Amino acid sequence: MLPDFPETKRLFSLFFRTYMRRKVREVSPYSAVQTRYLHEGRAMKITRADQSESTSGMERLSTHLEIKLDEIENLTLQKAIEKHDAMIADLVRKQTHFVRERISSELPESQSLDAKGRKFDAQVVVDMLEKMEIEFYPDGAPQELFLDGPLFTAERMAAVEKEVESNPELKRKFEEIMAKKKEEWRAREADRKLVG
Amino acid sequence: MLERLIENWLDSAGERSYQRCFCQMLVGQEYRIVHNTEHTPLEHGKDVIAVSPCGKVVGFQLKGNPGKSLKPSQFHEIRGQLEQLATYTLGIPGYERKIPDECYLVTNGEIDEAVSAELQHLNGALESRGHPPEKIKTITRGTLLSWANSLGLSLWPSEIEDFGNLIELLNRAGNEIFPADVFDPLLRHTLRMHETLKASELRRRITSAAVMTAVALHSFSRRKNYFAEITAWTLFATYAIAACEKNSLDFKKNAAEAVLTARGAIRGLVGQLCDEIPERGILSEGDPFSEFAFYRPRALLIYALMGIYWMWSDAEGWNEPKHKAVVEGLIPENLPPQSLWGEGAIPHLLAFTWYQKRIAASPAQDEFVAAVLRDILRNKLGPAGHLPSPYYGIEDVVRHTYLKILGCDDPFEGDGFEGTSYICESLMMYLVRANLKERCKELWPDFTRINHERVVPDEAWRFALYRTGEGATNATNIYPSTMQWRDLQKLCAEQGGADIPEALKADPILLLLFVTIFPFRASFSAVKFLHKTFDVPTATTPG
Repeated sequence: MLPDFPETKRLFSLFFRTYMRRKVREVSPYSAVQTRYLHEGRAMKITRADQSESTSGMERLSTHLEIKLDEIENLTLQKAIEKHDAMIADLVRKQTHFVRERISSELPESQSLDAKGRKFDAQVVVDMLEKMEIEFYPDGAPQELFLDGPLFTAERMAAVEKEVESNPELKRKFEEIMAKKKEEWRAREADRKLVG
Repeated sequence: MLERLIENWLDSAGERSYQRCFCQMLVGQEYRIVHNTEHTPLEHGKDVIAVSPCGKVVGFQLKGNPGKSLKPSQFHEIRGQLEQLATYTLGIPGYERKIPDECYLVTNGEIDEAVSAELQHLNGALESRGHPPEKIKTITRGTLLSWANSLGLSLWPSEIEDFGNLIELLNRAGNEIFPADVFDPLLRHTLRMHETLKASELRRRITSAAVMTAVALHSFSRRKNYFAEITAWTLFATYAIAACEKNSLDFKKNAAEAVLTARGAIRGLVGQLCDEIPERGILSEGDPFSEFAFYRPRALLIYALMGIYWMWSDAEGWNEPKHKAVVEGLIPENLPPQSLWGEGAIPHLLAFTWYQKRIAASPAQDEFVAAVLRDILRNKLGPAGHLPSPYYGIEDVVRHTYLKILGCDDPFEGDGFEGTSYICESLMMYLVRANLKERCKELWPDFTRINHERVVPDEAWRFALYRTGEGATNATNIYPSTMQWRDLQKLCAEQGGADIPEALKADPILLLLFVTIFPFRASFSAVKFLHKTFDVPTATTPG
């Protein structure tokens, strides 16, 4: 064999692995979502407060990293990172697709909204909020909502916000919904009790 | 190469560490161990008494002469013990009036020629007094090596990964926590957990795994790292149970003797730990400047182990009566603040509490558990610093806490603990069974705000392993906001343990030890089962 430097290369390999792990998390639309590490077992099951259950398995997501032999001679650290970035983008795309598909299949009918081809506007948001269960912090402020999906572009979101601000009727409707949601939340919280 | 490893182990093993392996090798030859001690002065030299497959009662006197020969001067010291072994009645339950049919002087070294001659004289004298000729025989290094090779090594996995793992264990300094993740594949592969075995093959493999355990512990035994030895022998015992249940083979016929022998070794090791404590005065170990991070978690672990030792000895009798006072003097009535370093500490807290209740049960102990549950719930619903799951040990917690100054990777990376708990259900069950209704009512709102996690093995035998493998479900349970007290009582009154191997349930002490060492096995089901066995009801005011 030709002379090699495996110990130092191991350190680079460690760097790339750590870089990938962190970057995937950083660029993923689900970066704010709490992740869990499953130490054993492959199946997952959730039993909700209403005793409904969902069971799911794991899915292996993979991507590949290619390096051509004629690229090696002029490879720089920057280029190596760029190759990893391409792989990260592919992995995140697959992960996003998988998560959206899984959420769609798991969401009960009662919490789903069919926009029926309408464009994403303030009325769709109103309809959405009506269907949602919204949580509040103990000080009464609503917990943050995370929007994910191709509909929710920054431009559309800004347009909806503008639409609401410029339409007092819509604004009032939003405030009413949020007040109603807060009441529902209060009722839910008041229901947290052991009785008898 | 592996033969050299065994030779190297035998040539440096102390008397006590090779005694454990020796007993397992006797079991592998279908002996039944009826007495096994680690040298107390009252034992008249009978280290091990076993009944051979043909029904002969055989006494073994063990000596440690690693890499050396037994010299005449050493022989003179034990001559009296040997003579007692050969001529005295055994005085052990079931064999009170029996004199051994055969006796062996066992050494892991060689026997000096002069000693052989002296032994002949002794045998001659015994014969003249009516004993059979050559009443005392010898087992030396060569025989032990041959046994270790035929009963152990011949069935070890030959894959390079396993060889690497064994070498890794042997290369350890020996003063650290026993790396169960490295040992686990060795046991699984030796016991062929991926295949179906016939009874005879399983029995041979259990003996092989026992020899593997003794050899793998070499570095740890040399450092007298008792907790590491307890960990490894506990794993051996639970894996033998798992292998039996997986293959649907009768535990009593195929593994009970080996597990019982390992259990005896574990008890001896906890006793040795107990012996060491008064000599130390403080539960500190190693570099004192880093003890700020480790002292309390270690102390809690020791209290738990000693509490288990107390309950064990209280049920089965004290081997060393003086240990009772040592344990009672060591374990404090109350734990110091900040003893809760993670959910992994909960099994330790429970063992501590169950011990305390046996010493003097009082409502304060149940209130302590209520306070612990309250603290965990607050922590899990708080903004930061969430207690890690029981899959993380104190070393992970310390590395995470002092990440910046230690310059290490974050062991918690990719994991999150906010709003989830593996242990709160068990603590709530404890309070419900203690009939602390008002406390439960107070804690209920927060209890329903978090996700309760369980790992449910597909088959019970997987519970007894360090990792279940793929055959388990990660179940999340969200409790309904409103629940009737009587429904909760009904849920908590269940026996539990449906997902635990029968033979492990039949030995609650071993089960408690297992979940103390591996807190992620303190599932809701396991704690419900253990609570039924170890808890002592206190007089609380209902309602």
